[in-house]
Amino acid sequence: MKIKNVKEFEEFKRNIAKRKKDIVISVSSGTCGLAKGAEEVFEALKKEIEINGLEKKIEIKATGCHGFCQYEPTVVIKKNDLEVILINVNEKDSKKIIESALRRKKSYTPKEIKEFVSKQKRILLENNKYVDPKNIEDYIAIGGYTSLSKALNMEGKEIVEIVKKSGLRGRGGAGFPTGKKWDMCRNQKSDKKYIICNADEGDPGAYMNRALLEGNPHLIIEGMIIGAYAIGADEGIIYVRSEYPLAVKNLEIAIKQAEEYGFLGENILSSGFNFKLKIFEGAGAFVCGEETALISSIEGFAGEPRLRPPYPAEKGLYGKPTNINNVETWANVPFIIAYGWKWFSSIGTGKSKGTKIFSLVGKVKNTGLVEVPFGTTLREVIYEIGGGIKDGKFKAVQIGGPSGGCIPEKSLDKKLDYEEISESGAIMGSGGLIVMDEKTCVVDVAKYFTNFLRYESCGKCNSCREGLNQMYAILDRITKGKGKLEDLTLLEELGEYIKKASLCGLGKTAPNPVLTTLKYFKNEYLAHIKEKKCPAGVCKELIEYSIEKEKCVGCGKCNEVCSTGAIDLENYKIEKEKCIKCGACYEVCKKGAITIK
Amino acid sequence: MQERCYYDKMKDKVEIKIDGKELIVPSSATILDVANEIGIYIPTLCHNDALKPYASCRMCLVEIYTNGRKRIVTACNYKVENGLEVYTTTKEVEKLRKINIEILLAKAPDSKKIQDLAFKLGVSETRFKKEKGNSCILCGLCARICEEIVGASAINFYDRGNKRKIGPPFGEPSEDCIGCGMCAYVCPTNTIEIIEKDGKRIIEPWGKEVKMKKCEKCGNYFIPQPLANKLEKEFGLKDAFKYCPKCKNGKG
Repeated sequence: MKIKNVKEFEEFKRNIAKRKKDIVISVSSGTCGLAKGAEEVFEALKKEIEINGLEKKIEIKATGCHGFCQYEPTVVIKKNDLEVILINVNEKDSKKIIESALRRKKSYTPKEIKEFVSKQKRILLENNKYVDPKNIEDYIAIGGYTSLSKALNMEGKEIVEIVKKSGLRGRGGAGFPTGKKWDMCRNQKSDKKYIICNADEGDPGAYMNRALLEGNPHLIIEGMIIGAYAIGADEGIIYVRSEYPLAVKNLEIAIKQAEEYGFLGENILSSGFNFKLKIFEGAGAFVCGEETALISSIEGFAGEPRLRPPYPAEKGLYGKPTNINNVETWANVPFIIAYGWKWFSSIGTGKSKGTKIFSLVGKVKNTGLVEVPFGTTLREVIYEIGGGIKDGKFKAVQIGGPSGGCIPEKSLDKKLDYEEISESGAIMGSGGLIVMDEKTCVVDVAKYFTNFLRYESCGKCNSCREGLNQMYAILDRITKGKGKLEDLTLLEELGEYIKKASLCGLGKTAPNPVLTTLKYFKNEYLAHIKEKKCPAGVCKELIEYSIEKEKCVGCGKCNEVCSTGAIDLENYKIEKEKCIKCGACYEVCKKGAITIK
Repeated sequence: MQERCYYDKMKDKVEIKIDGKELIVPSSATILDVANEIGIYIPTLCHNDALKPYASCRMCLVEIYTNGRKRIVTACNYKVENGLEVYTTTKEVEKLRKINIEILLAKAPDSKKIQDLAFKLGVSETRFKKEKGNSCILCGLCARICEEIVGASAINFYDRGNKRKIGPPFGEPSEDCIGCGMCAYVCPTNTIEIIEKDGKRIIEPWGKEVKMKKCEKCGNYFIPQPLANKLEKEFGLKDAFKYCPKCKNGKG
């Protein structure tokens, strides 16, 4: 059905509200949830509802990710104002869940989730719990497309001003002011303009965008339509990586529905504004997240970044003015239009306004998606939201993915703020937070990221391609105990050179993991070089496994898993010549009798 | 005061400053064009005046200021703009060029051209791990000349990052190659080799074989057959390659 104008839209919204059922059960069915059995839980609950003939009373939906990764599958029961959150749900629990949903008179949130959401301010993620991404009416029911209808009554210039005043900055990593970017593109005189949503999320361990794309695609689409109207573009592209099949599928459905309902296409809500939107699937190159490489890729060329100027706002896709924003940036737009720039700029700190989603992973107790206002400290995120380190001691947190850096304990009180994070040598990035404990070797981490980047670089600039190759070679010999003291100066020199001599953002930030670990953890590098030791017990060439006689109970499990027969049980010894340092014995020993030196 | 102005009939002129010299130059020029014109030396490896700038070797780094903002850019592809200030010999630029050539020296230690350039920049040894065997520095001159000048597009870049290579599609000898040898001619590291024997020309490392054409007078092989065909067809030359140049000029 097509909604032709604002009046029809208002009436439609009133009708949807009437259709609401008493109880709504949402099963977190993002990629993460599905991997842990969300589909089985959903089917079991659905069957239970049908058996009891409760279809008219209870609505069940498969929603996007709720962000409680650690505790998937999660289920949320909404009964008028009551909200019950269930974690680690099993399909066998379906009967109990339905019974309790009917009886329930009090809200309930498990203490793990209470801790996890305590300091969060969930604006963008909140609706993932309530919206079925495959149903546009669900999105409309929570106020969706109302911002669009409001925006279409404004002048494009007015919208750009609101976004400017809100202080919204690009969530892709660099934090360029969004309103300014829009203004640059809007001021270009051209018969054709494009807008692009950069959904080529590729940082290892980061999945903020995926949760939004899978769980609330209409929010992004609505943001894009408003942006296109403000800028004067009539065509948009969502560049999403093909490794996100569920995101692609849900976006396809969402675009089709938005077309059917008249939010995309010709003369949207009788405003005279036309806009079409399509999906372009990226082929998995990390560098295509760089905006000019992304444009090359859409045009059918190899994903190689281009020299700026000219900026995409002047000469972008097919040589036309183009505005590119990240998924999360677009998702903020409908909220800014709905609640105003004053509301938005009241959240956050300094020059960083609003909230930011992080994917908190690594050695913390609670992992998952964290949405916090800018200005929250890293300590609050890791210790209060994340619940601290699982076991052991905190060592560092890697912020900003491969382009970011490792931040040590003493800097944990740094606020999440574009400027403050940059001062530490890292970058805010798109939202990856990998927490490491004392069993993580920072040299090994730097080597991992350098290895990732030396292949993910497009390979055009000599400085980035060969520079990272040489950097990797040096790190590799350090982790093998063959490093020299001069290597540290060489690493620093190389780092500065790669940053300055390379063309695009990838090369200009690629040495950050090495440079920040060198800055904050020089002693660990020195231990590898001078003492030929890996303090974290990670670098194989520098460690030795041995058996502590006093702790050993002689169960023989280590001997069972050892693939080279290196364990001499009688003498409590591990034969050096045979040991390949796979660590299997260490993992299997419950008594902690196997030690690493 | 403008020290010098070149190109008399410039349509769009911009004012720039390069190493302190104030100039009026055409807006279509790059920093390297201007430097070459007024005799300021900027080292290059992947640049060829006949080809579009590519900026892969990063040899031509210079320091620029635009609207008070400092940047390090490649001179070969950076277009001049009003108010641009360029410095080609700052300490920072020299340091970057040195480490850049050091890295190239590790990649292609036996290349005479790179050794010479290193010497010129005051670098005699590299501190980096030298690569054995493959000396291609991926400057792309071969692929670009094949596409832009020859029009064959027989070779190009493939894969990315440290696995990036240049070659024909799927590593098979390309059907589009006409054996002209332009790729070998422009290669700064002599990675591409041309072997001629038994009436055939072989282009290595890609193993492409083309037949050579025989002079109808002296019987010597003198031009690859596909190249002769292409030239005859494109320039409407009939029987232009019947005889070798020597016989044609009566010196055979």
